[in-house]
Amino acid sequence: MDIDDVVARLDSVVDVLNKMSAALEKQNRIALLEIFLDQNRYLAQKVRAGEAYVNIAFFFLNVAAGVTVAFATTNPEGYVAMSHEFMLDTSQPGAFTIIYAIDGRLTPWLNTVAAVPMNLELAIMVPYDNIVMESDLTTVTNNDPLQQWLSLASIDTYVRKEVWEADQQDLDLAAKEYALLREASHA
Amino acid sequence: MPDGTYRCPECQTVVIFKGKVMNVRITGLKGWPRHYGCELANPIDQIDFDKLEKVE
Repeated sequence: MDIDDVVARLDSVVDVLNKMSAALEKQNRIALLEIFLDQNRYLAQKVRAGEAYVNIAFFFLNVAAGVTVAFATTNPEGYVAMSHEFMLDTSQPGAFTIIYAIDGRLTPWLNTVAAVPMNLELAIMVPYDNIVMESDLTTVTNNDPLQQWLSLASIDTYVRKEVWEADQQDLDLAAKEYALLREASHA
Repeated sequence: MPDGTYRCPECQTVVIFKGKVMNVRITGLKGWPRHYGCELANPIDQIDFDKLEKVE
């Protein structure tokens, strides 16, 4: 084997190592973006940075027969609200109609004519899709001929509005980059 | 059940009553009732409206 063969073999080894390094870098980037696109981790980071705070809201209602109670809730000034967990219990499953709207729009995930007790992990099921910019409206109606109770708890994180508006652009870029990297790694 | 707008003198929460519908307005942190023993938290047919302030 002459020196040219040795150099050629070394070049091919270096080439393989470079390709492995690029692939690892890409995998690391995908892993980082996966963290950024996870709403729970994003909110944990914001809370740690003092840019957000968590509130657990409890609602307990005794509702007379046929009565509707509507809660129009406006965010604390300067904050947007993100619900990440939602728990519902009732004295009579199926007795209550619930309608929920965010910023004047009906949500697809909480509208029912016969609510049953449930726990929803919103940050996992519909990440970044339950953000209240200004206000929300929760309407409950007791369809039962007797008085019934309903309890509802939601874990919300309030993020400073200017922080969320700036982060939204980064999240959009991250989502695009993530999609491109995933596409490239499957090609 | 009288129609109209009423306010709890303690928590200042405003509720609009119309027929069998209660419209509650909350600003800030969510939650209900706003304080223990709030008259507004009773079922609509058991609220003592004399304990609330009528809002004109």
